[in-house]
Amino acid sequence: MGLLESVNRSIQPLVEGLDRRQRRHSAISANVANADTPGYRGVDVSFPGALARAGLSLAATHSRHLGGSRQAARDQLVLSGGELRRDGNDVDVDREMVKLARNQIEYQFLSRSLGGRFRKLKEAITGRATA
Amino acid sequence: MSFFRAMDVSASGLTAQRFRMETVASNLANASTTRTPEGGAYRRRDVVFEAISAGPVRTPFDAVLRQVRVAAVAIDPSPPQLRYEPAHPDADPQGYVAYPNVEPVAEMVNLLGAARAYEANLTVMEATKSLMLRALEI
Repeated sequence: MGLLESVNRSIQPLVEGLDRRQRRHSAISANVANADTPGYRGVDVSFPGALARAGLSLAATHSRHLGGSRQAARDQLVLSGGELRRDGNDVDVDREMVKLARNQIEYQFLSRSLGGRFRKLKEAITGRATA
Repeated sequence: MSFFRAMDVSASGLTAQRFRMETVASNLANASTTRTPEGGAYRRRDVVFEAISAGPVRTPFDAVLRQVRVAAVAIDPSPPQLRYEPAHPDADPQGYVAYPNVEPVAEMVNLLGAARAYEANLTVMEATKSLMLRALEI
C-alpha cells in the first residue's frame, strides 16, 4: 500500500466524523432557533452505528445524493422525536444544549486527532520533530 | 453545509426573540393606554413565528434545515378591560373606560421565555464560532 493511500485511509474516518459533527451542529442550531416555532419538529443527524444497534437499517439512497463517500450517504436528517407540546413543537432546549456541548467536545477531539496525523506526516517527511 | 449557515440560523433565532421582547415591551409600556391612532384602547400584540428554509438547497440536508422568522404581529382579539371611571376623558356614555387587554404578569412570563431563548441561541452562536476557529487549527 502506497504512503498516500495509507495516510488517506487513516484520515478518512476522522474527516467523515468531523463532517457528521458539523451537520449535527447545524441541526442543533436549527432546533434552538425554532424552539418556539409552532408545529416545528426537532431534527438530528442519524449515526449509522446507533441505527444498526437499534436493529434498523436505512433505505438505500442514491449514491450521488450527498456527493461523498458511501458512509456519508448513510447519514440522514431524522426527527429527534421529543415530547409534543400544545403548540406542536417538540424541541427540548436543555437537551439541545447538552447535545451541543457533547458535539463540540467530539468535534474538538477529532480535529485535534486530525491535526496530529498531519503533524506526524510532516515529521516523517522532514525527519524533524515539530511542535 | 458550512458553519456559516449555522450562524445564519442562530442569527435568525436572535432576531426573532428580540422582536418578541420588543413586542412585550410595547405591551407593558401601553398597559394603560386608552387612546390610539387607530381608535380605542391599545390592543395587546403577539408575534407569530414560522420556520422557513435556511438558504439555497444544495444537499438533501439543506432541504430539511429551517431558520425562524416573524411571520406576523397578531393583534389579540380578546375584549378590553372595562373600568368604571365616569370622570375619565375617554369614558363612554355609561361611564366605563376601555383599558388594554394586557396582563402584566403574563407579559413578564413571556419576556422571561424570550430572554431564555435568546440566550440559548447566543450559546449556540458562540459554539459555532469556537468550532470554526478550532477547525482553522487543524
